Amino acid sequence: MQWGQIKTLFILSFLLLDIYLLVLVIQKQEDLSLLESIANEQEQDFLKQEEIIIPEKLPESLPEEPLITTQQKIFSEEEIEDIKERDNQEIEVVNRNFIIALLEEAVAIPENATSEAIAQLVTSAVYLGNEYSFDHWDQDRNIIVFFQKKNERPVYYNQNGVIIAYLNANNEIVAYTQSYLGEVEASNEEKTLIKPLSAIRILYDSNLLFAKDEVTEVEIGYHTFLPLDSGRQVLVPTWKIRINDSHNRLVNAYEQKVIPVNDDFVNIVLYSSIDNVRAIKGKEEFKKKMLDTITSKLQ
Amino acid sequence: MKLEVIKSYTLAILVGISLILSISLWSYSPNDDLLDEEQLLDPSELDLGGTEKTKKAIVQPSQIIFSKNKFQQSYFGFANPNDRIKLYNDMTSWVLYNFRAVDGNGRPNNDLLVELIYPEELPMEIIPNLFTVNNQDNFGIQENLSFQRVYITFSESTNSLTFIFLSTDGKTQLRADVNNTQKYEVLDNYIKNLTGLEEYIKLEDREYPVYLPIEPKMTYYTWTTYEPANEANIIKNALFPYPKEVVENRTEENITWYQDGTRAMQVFEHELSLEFIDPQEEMFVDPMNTIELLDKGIAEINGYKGWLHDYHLEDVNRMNNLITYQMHYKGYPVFNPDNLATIEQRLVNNELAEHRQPIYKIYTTASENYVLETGLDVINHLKNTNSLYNISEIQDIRVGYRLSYHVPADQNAYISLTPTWYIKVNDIWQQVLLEDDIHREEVS
Repeated sequence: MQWGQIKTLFILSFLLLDIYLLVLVIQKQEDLSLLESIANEQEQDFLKQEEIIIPEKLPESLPEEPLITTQQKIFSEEEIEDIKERDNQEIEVVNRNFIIALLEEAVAIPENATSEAIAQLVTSAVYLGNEYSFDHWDQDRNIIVFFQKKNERPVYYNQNGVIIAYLNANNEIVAYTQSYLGEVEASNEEKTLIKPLSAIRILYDSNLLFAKDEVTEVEIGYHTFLPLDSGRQVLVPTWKIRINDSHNRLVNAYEQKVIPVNDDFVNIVLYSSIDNVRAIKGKEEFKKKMLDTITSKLQ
Repeated sequence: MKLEVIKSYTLAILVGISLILSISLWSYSPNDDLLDEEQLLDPSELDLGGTEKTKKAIVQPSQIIFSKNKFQQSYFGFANPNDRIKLYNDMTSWVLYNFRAVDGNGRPNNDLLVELIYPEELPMEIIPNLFTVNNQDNFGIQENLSFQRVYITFSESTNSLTFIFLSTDGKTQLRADVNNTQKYEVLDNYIKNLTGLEEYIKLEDREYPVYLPIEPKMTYYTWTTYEPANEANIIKNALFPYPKEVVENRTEENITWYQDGTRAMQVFEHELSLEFIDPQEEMFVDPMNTIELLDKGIAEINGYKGWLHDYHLEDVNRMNNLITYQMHYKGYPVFNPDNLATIEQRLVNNELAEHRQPIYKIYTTASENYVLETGLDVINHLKNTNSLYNISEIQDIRVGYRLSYHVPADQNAYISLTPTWYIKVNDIWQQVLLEDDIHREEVS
């Protein structure tokens, strides 16, 4: 009988202990979620204080993803034949990796064409054009720049995955050059990506985003610091943030680090294109026309 | 009876729940993805096998000159530069008392004078980092003053020494005393008996003269090097934030690249040196002062015990935050145009943006006697009307080693150190080509 009473006593005391512990656990969880929400609010605070406008709908936060690598594609004989089989184009492939094309008839870009319409126009006419996305129309030089896509995301500023379409004074495409990145390989390790808002915050902290600025576009893509011509390139997920519809900033989405934008990118591509044109054997007339076109775009 | 069984089970369950709750309370922590991967590396994977150094050891004067001005001006410096380093290291432990700023009127003109000449202007604030300062609280100095020369004067009556840090504009002297008879005698002994010293000569009369040894005794050295082992990999581990994710590849041009998509490290031919680049947005750069630059720069290299050779600070370029450390051998500076004798760091916003470093390790050393042109030959040559140099533009002159190498097929690099005169013009060190050399160059 005594043992039974002791048991009852134990049951009661353990019940009390369990209730106490449970309360502690719940409190701890609440504290943490509260901290998180405060952090979130604070993250947003600077936007209000500095009157910085951001798009209403930012891209969703992204799950963990692996590091990917790629390499400049070396075309096979069959692929080169396929590349050259295009109507209304005279095409040369240099070093089995660089496509140079002159249009026999210039293609006019309709006035007030949207970027989608321009993209459609060019990508339908080039080899694997659906793998490229429109980046910008450089009105000073009158060229249109397209970046190649990997995993449905553009690879920013990579001279080994870019199309440049050359326009004449009448806004007609007269030629283009194209490079192509090959298959991607994913590594085993996965990493979390920073949220778009954190990327905007880093720009603000780095004095690259000011009061009353407007973030006009936020987009995820890839970037590499070292676009090697031979050997593998590491593509890092990168937020491209467009400010005041006038200039872009890149933020490494793995590390919260601003990536300096290479302002000289177009010139680098143009110079390497010139070298590639010069490497063509024979075809003097083609070379001359192409060189004239490209050199007129140098600044 | 049945009730008792139920009670037993209830008790057991309650005890179980309390255990589970306690464990979850103790081990509950938010997901932390920012786990520092470097900590997962074995310490040996972050150890280049060199040493760690302090600012005191890195910042060294390039010359210590004893001058006697009483009857006839004469100058002496150490015949063996290692003795200079030894004396200087001792000096840094001398306690400096009674700091006071005095309006200066250029260099002091005492009969007996010891002059320390640093290779680079240093901010006055760095003094407590280099010397032993008594009661640092009283070490009040005007900001933005820097010094390159320190003069030590003797006070015979009190057997004490006075250190004079002369501001580079010559207008302020920061003075401090050393009241230690023993240390007084050390310097007094050198300047009176000239033990271990040799005679120096001034290039020309200037407020801040350039001194050079009249007859330096030099030796020619050759090194063989170890086969390159894991050096590049260790520096990769140290400089990349996530070393395990770094991709290594060799291009068609036989250059090894390490990259993580954001940074890159290039290992040059024969694995003698490497270059690391972490591009930074430089639109707005917070200026860093010399002390901050040195602290951060030295700590980076200490982090992987990266001082494979003896290095002294050579230059701090505040314009672009570039620090240069010069290799020294037997106390003499070593020069090589391909960065095989210098470590260079560029810091932007407290991050290492660029890093260049030699990574070879010395295996054996051999030496031969060498006859170097005398200091008088060099001065005569420089003053010669046909000279390539304008004497007033020469900022400094040093005897050092010219490092050159060759790598026979399938062997490790051979490195030779040829004693050579160097002059600094426009902040760049260049070899003095004496006529014989010019002639030789023409023949070859």
